[in-house]
Amino acid sequence: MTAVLLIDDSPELLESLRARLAADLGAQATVLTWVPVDGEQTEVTFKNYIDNNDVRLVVTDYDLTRRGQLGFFGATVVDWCQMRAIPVGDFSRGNTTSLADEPNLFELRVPVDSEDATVSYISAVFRGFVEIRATIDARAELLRQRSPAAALAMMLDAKRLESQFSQYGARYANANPGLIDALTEVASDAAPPPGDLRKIELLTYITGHLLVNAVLRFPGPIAGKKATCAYLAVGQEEYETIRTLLQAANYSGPFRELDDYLWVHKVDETLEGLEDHVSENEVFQSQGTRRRRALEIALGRTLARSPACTRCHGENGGFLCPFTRRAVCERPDCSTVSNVWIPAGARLCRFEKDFYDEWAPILGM
Amino acid sequence: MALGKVEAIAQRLLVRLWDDIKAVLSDLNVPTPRPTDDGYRLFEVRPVQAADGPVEVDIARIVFQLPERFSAPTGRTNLYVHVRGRLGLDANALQEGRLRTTSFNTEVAYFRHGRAGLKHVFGAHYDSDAKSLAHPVFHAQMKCYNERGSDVSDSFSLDCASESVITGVFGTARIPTAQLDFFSVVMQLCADHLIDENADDTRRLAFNRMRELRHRFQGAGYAWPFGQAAECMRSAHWYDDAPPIALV
Repeated sequence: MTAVLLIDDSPELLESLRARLAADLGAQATVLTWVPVDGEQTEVTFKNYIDNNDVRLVVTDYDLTRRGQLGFFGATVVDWCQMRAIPVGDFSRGNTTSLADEPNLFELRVPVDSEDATVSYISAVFRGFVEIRATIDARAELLRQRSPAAALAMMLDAKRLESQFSQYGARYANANPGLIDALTEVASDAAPPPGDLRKIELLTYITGHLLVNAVLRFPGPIAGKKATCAYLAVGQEEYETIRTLLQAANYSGPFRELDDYLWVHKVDETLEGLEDHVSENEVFQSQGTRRRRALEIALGRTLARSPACTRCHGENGGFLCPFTRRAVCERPDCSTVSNVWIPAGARLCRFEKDFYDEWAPILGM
Repeated sequence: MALGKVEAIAQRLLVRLWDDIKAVLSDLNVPTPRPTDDGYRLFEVRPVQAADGPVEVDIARIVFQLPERFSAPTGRTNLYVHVRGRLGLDANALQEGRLRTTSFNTEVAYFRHGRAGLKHVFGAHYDSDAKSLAHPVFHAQMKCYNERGSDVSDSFSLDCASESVITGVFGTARIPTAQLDFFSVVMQLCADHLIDENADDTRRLAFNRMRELRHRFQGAGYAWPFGQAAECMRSAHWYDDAPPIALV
């Protein structure tokens, strides 16, 4: 049976999380727990857990030293998992500043705002990876695509978006050098030819992270609530209202539980129908303003703007700055593109200009 | 910028097409063009002047850094191509969600960077003219654009002024060409500098995708009064009939 491995040095917290997670996952997974203790050969213990169970996700606390394992931190577990291409999430409940909010590509940052949030996230991510694995198991042709982006596009029945997925352009080996070791191993003269199972595991690992940590985090072909509101230049309080018009754009792929995601090209198709009702004589300052106007006509009322923007007070919108988390528009004094800090495929993301001007000279944005 | 309905559609379609082209350029390992590759900056849609009139779009300067030949030693991208221009788009086609050219003007300036500094080695403008007597509908005229070398130097921090090797080039010859609008020029740059028979599958597939993308942008040949040009651009169709003086 597939399993989730939870690691923490606090047995009480660990048991509470285990019980909640086991209830949530039910028959989908066994929830294993590990409390590292003084004198334990941690790497051996970890290896035993992995070798003896079908572990699809590991979740670890950042500080694992409380019961005498001095120097043993979640970062070590993350490294071990990355070497084995097992999805891994980490969190820090005790000192929330120990970990950056943003994970790297092959690491999952588990929210700790509440135990509900933690459990929901772990369950959603687990189910997402399991779903991807099942799809690859069932569709052998996915192993023969020319790139993870191509496989992901096919998996999501969105081949037309392959080029955009490819623009998330991760250099996978740079993000997880363990992958190089894995490939070097199978490529050595002494190694037997890699079986499909290993390829399936690696493709699951790479496409899963590409989807959850790049495509869904930096809105482009798929947008969550916040990005959708920015795209449509409306305040977030209007989301439930506008959502009723956008049913055809529902995203029902892996990790869908993490937010309410929509396919942007299908949102566009809906809007293009609605825009026929916009008067030929009306002019707008931005694409976002046009989109909102089309929605307003369809709904028969004015929609609230996102008030956070000090330049146009939410009038324009159209894009989301993934760092300030505010709606921005294409005006040169409002936002700018970045090919370094924002993946090129994230076409709904732009840097808020003030933030960019302040930090780009230092951070090479 | 105020966007009416057709202007908004034009901007949206051009930005989408350009974003898809950027994905191909990325697969072909082209460094990010400068000073910006932001579609919203690149395509400036002018307000439509007349009902059903064409939508005019200014294309801001953009500089591509390329190898002189695909087989150039790895990493040697010493050619800089400065492009800017204009497109006229058919308003009726835009209403149907299609990009169709009514007119275009494209100016290209090539600069080679080497030990001797930055040299302006080729310049031309491409446009179309179906109305003037004895003009090939699509044609190129060579021209020196040495002053644009400063855009190249500034964009890529080359710290040297450009020197022209084509000063005084004869610019009156109208060389019949195919339709070399902005997107065609980008396609041509890919063909000239980024692929040849030794290219691997990734490049070949990227190039094929670029060719497919070109189908999202219809040429202007459909509009010419001498019908064959719509489908065939052989020399027989480069020039309209010269009508007798009495009929002019």
